[in-house]
Amino acid sequence: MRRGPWRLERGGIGIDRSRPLTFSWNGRPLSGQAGDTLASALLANGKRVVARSFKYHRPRGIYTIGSEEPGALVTLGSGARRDPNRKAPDVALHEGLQAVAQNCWPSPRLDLMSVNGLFAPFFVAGFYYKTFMRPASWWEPVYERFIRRAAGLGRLSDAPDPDAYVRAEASCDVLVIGAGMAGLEAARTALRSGARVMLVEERDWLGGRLGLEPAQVDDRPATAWVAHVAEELGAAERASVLTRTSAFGLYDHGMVGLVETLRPQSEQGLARQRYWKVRARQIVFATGALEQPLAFAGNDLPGVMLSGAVRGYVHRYGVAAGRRVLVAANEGSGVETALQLCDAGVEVAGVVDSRPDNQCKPAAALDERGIPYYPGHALVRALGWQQVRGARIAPLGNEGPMPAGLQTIRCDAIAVAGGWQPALHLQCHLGGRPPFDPERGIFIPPSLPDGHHHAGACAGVAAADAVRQSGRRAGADAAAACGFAPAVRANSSLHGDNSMAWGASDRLRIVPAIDGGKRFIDLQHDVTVDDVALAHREGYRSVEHLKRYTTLGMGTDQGKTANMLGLHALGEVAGVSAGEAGTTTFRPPYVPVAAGAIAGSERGQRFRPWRRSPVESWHRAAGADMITAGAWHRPRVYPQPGEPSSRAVSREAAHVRAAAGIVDVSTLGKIALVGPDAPEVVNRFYANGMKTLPPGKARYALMLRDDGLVMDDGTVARLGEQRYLLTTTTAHAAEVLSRIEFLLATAWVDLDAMVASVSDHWATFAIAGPRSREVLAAAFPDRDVSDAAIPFLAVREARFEGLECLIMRNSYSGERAYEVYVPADWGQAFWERALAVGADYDLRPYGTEAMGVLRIEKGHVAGPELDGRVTAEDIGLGRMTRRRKPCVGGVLRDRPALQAAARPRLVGLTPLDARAALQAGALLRATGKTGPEAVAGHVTSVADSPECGSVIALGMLAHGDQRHGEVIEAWDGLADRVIPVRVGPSVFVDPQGSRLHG
Amino acid sequence: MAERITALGEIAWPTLAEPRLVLSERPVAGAWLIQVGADAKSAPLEALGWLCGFNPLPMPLSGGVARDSATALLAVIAPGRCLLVTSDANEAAALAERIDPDAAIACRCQRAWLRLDGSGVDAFLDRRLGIDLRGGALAAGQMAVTRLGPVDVLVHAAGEGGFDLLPARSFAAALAETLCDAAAAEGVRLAVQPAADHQWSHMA
Repeated sequence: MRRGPWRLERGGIGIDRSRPLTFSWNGRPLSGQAGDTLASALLANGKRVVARSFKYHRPRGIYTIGSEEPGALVTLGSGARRDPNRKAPDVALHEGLQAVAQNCWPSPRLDLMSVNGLFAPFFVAGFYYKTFMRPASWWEPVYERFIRRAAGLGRLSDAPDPDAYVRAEASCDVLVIGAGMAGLEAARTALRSGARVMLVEERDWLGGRLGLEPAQVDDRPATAWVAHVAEELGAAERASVLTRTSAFGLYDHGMVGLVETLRPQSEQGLARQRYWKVRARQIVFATGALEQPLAFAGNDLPGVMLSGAVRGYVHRYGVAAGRRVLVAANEGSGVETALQLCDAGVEVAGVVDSRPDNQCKPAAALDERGIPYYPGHALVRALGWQQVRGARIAPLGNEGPMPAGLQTIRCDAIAVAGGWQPALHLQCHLGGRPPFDPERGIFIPPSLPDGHHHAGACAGVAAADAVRQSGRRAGADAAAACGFAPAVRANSSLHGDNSMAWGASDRLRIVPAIDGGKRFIDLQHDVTVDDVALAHREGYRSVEHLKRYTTLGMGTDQGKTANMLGLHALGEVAGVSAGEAGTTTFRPPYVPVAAGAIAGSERGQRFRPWRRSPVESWHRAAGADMITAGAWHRPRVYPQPGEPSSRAVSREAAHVRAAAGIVDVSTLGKIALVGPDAPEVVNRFYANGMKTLPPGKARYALMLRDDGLVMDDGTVARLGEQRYLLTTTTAHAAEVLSRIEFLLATAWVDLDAMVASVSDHWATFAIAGPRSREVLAAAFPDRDVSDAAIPFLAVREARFEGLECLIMRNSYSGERAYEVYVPADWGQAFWERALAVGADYDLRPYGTEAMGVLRIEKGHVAGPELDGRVTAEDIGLGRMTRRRKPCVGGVLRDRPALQAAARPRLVGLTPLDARAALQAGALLRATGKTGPEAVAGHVTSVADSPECGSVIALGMLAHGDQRHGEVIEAWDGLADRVIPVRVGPSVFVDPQGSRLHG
Repeated sequence: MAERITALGEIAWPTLAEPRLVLSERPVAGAWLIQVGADAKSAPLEALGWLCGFNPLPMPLSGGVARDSATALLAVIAPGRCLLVTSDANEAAALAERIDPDAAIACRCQRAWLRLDGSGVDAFLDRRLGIDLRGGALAAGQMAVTRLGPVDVLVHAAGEGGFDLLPARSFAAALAETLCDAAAAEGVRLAVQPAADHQWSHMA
């Protein structure tokens, strides 16, 4: 038996022995080679125990050689770059890599939490559904804390991800997923046929299994063949090849999600990963197959590894999984494994083959190499404490393993060959379930819409020649479907045995236990054969229930090496075949995807596109306290240095009523409507009468929904016989425009009119207050702004620096006010000019909070009142509408429920304590009444009114019109507060409206 | 003279030496949305096109078709709807006199007019859009209504290899930021030039 370093003296086609790398493992420096993965480097350094399992904290080693790895989960990096649950075989080694074991303390070899294993009889599947129940009060302070500490995989950093990511889109004729032999043939054939091809491969090298074992293609080493094909693809402009790129999701209409790893971490702003959305006219799945394990006692010990992985570590990385390897198989690749290991210089303890003697065709080469061969035997138990030290095998009789024939074989690694299963997860993302082929004992691809093809092992093809042909055919079919003449070459011979047998469908997968012992199915979640039987006994008989009750297949590996074994275990206890048991639903992502990759650059302030007002930079420079309003950032208030915001708001509101203020309302929706039938459009769309609105005048307008409830309010300004400017609230701008466009395209096709958003064209400012006219006159010195020239609700053209502007006299604050519309590129110029010339009249800017105070003082409704549940009558605007006029919502507004007398009506509310902490959302009820039935309304808007010297509010109250003067309660259940308020009119200031003309 | 601040002019963009790609802003002197149809309304459009140097203007215009000159862009952006944009003040004045205000919507500042140029612009923009640029889905002279990142945008494939991008003005800076972020992440040097930073003839 060979001792000493695990790195073999020869082999390792994937590493560069002249380029050593240093990395750290659990804080200690180790060395590897360029081309290594973390797994191969750890194996080369003799690290067998690399993690602990989820539930029992059992030692876990490296089990596979790909992203299907269930046990070797590590955490990379530290601090903000801490990246947990990475699969060691999937991590490319680089200089300075930091990796630590997970779920163990203080080390993977000595883990104090392994005491959980002593309680294994209690920690069976679903135990948590039966425990931690009493006392119930202990759940949060005791049970939950304990469980969270004891279980879990890895620990995320709570610091922002410092890496950059980028999102990209791509289109192609043919997308080939998987660059093994079938995928390479498919891609090359499609390319030669004239198609634009994308080939993606999750590893950082091409070739698939050809890169994991010695093989010949077309009379030359497989690696040479792969390089030749790669060169052809790389040189073609119509082809793009992405390695280190996982296809994580298949979606409708030929859409595939990919995540490409560009570098271990961002450097100088360069992205770590790129998230692709690919639209392919045709998709070829060449996703290969996943080797399956065997279930026997102790099969989770470090040192037990899938045989394909053992071969791959030898061939690609020049690393031996053990000094003396025992092979356990139920199909032919076990023999192949033994031969390859022996030829590579690894001692092989024997081949234990569960197939009956008369089915085996042992290669004479086994004999030549002196490798013991045990046909008709099963490996019944792996021996060892923290890693494999040996194995027990027994001959198989009619009833299973025969204890009388038990033998012990000394070994330190076990290569398990349990057969293969096509990798179909991606193909099932569209909702299809893979059917079962009882002859081959495998699940095969589900039926998919046109445009999806399968090639190679994932299509159920095993023999090498057939794999190549299937790749060519799939590529040709895909290209033909795109309209290209397919280029398919004739068959060629293949030397070397790359065949992968599926094995007999009834091969032994679950070895009956002799003298007990856990037989693991899911290495990540510690699910055993006995757990499956327990779940079945307890009534969880469908595969969906089995999954959820035992958590089988719910780990980060999605059960890629567990699901099939679990189905067979279920079949055994349920007396059905694996096919009859069926699979669970496979959903994206196929592999874990970093949240950062999904977000791309849309994070932090870029989470949503930032919509900028023409004057935003001025507001910020002026020290405004900004607030987000949808995608906009608006000035909430302009506090003076050291001034509390609340005081600043009151100051601004009071100043508007005393002198003059200017507010940026550029975010309001503005819609231009033109055309011969524009007057008819406005008349049909709004609940107000609009036919009498003459050019040069504006009108406050109410829009109803189809169901008769209020959608939005705004103004309608008639600029000409066939020209209108409609305004909406900021929040409903898009909705209103969309509604009008929809009606013009469907119900009103007879009307000749055009509508378009001009929200961004106009910068809009409201100048309000007793001195607003003087400010306007100063801003527009060449324009007559007298009351005669611009009466209330008039709209007039004006010029600012030669530019066409609009002035509309209306008021949201109840004071004399004007809205000025300036082309947006000159918005800031006008704002600054207005403030400059307005200084003589004490013009000051005010923000959205003060604007809110002013409108609440005047009882003007806004978003909090127009919440989609109110009618025009509810908010006191019923008389403004024309009941006999056909309009949107006109029919359903007359439904009896919308006319009920008990409906909530808009009221004003004044707390008896002028400084009461009244909150919007508080519920209204009669004094002293409690319970849900007592609720009669709610508070919609609250303001601290400088004009009234009190907190005031608007609310919706049942029978509100008849309750003026009544004292009721505003109940805030969250704050546990009750505030007495007096009901009154909704207009608190200047109910006669005299200030509009002041 | 009041200072004009265009959509990209509100932000101080970092300067970049030897950029590979440049996103430049063209100041709009005039823009209109014009209703078109198969009837006589096309005649005024033809006259307008002549004013912009589009002679002849192939009628009827089909969706996505655009014509551009050194200063103007005319495109059918929706069924029955044309967008006409010019950066030339004289052209704009002539068009304003000709266009019936009751049949068109003046929207000079509604959209920012950006141009993305440079080496590899096709490949870079192809990765940003859901349109298959490399597959010829947007040939020179065509326009599409699409989305770049989170921003809705009109994209016009200009004849000389660049692309006109016309987002709503308030979203223009966000669009530029999206492009800059993607460029930085992919190692592409992209410079942003607001309208004030470069000379355009006939600026308004």
